[in-house]
Amino acid sequence: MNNNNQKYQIALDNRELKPPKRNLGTEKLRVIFLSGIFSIFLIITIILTLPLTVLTWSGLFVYASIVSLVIFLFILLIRYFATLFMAYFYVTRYTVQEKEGFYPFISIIVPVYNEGIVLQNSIESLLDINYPNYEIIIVNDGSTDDTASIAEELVGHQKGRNGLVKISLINKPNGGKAKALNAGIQYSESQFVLCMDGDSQLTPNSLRMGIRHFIDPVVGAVAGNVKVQNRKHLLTDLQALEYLEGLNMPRSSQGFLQMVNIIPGPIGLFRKTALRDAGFYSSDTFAEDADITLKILAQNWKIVYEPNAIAYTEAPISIYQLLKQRYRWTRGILQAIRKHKRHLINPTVNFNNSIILWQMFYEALIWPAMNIFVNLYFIIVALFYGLSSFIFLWWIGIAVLDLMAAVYCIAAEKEEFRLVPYAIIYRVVFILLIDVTKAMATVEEFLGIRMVWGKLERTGLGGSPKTANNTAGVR
Amino acid sequence: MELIPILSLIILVATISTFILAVGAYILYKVRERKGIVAQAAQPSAIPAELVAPAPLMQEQRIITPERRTFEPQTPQQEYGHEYQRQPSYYTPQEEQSRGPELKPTFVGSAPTYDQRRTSDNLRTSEEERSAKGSKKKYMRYTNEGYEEPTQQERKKEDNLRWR
Repeated sequence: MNNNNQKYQIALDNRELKPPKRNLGTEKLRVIFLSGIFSIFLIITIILTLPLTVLTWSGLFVYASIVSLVIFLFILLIRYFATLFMAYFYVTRYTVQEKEGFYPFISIIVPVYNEGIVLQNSIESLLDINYPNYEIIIVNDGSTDDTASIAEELVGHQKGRNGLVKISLINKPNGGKAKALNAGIQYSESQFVLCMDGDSQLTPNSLRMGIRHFIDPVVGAVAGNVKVQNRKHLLTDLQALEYLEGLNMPRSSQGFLQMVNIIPGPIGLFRKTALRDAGFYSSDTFAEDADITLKILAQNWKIVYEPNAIAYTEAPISIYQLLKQRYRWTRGILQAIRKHKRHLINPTVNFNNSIILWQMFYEALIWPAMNIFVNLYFIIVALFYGLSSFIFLWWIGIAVLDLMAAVYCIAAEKEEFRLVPYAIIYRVVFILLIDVTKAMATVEEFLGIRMVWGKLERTGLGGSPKTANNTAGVR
Repeated sequence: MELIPILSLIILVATISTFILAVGAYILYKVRERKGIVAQAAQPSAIPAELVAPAPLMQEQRIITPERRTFEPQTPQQEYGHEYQRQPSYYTPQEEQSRGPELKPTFVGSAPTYDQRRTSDNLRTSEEERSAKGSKKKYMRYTNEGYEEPTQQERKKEDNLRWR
């Protein structure tokens, strides 16, 4: 430890904004009752109206399946083109829009829990940031490995790109990422904070590009661009494509409306006033980033997307780790939606938030269910009716759409073109895998089955920031 | 042999395999995670923590401005049931930079000095005192002898005059 460093005992405010207590039993009964009533109504309608049509019972199922398929295809196309066009409009506006230099003091909060293996690289990337006025606050959330000692070594006034950068450390008992971020926010003195993950690495221009949006006083937060660092592996390459096509492109289209629905955990810039209005982070969901975003939007703040504020993150390298991560994300998003269901049901409370919540609901619940249904339908048709060419034609259509989206996203972000061929198996294998997990997580969430956070195992294979840039091959 | 049936078969096998893989991974996840579930402990309102910070630089000491505003520790008290539609408080960047933070950790051990944390406990006290003095003066009457606290009777008289 640096001899000039000093240790202090501090007390951190541990209180959080609590939603009202829920009566789970009543909620479940209500769901069962409503779905039962709806199902009975549907069955009675079918029984009464079927003799009036030319359809038989078996014909009804075929007809219903085809209609569902057409609806799914229609929604899929609308979704693709709406996202592509809005993303294009945003990038176009973004490219021509000039913003003045604005360099307020920023605190970078780095919450860490057993991230000793990657912490050094993360801090190195932060010291290389091209910004004149910032500090780094590491919050060690009760790590059980050597994170505390590694972090202590880093404390001090370290040499940054534009002068000395102050690094402080808060050692607190384990309480989760939300509480760790709140601790860092409590300690920071700046009016703008950048919240990130312990394993993320920021690119040198990320602060400069992100902070300029706050010149607009209605902007409460800026969502950054997350990219996969550890590539050159089938699963991580697929995730790299997913981040571009499935996360960044929709975020870009949401940026067009200034209503980004999730500020990613690896990089999010916040105005402290907006955080205060939202009641800071809460640890009652498993997706604290989705929750804080919805809370900020509910307070009428705008959230924009900055494609050049880039953070590299380590993606899971095994299917088990990947599914664990997605299971947590899905349940966390559903918990966040449930917390804000008032906006979902009543659009007069906050219309923007209602749109965002319905979109999240659709992406987390309806879309995966539709995708699974379609794939099961084609499997059944192929196995039992011998119509195996249907699945091929379906795959061709989807693959063409995915290839088109992949080319656009990769070109827009000047990314690696070698990722384009992965679009061929992207939908039929990778997304299906994720969607099955999402469906399982949704069922469990509605049944109220308890879960644990599930810490991802870090490999530290991403390397230093320089390696990260080389690996990703960006610019 | 035609190409389409072969490709169809490949896609079919890939789709079925994906389903099996997803369900298998999910079962594995549930089996492994079952061990990790523990009951949630009650959360205290404040937790002790340790702060490791570097000694201040000379530059930092010079930055301190007496105008810096401080705030009382404030935590969100609102309840979801009483949510209401409100406008966010917008500030210009200059105003924003002059504003202080809302939540502050409390130093319970050997607290850093004024210079070290750049927070102004002394300022806070003096500001509080100043505001207390100000508020006191507000309700005092200025007479030839200086500021005087009005008696209950006098206040009553004033009220009567006002409402007559």
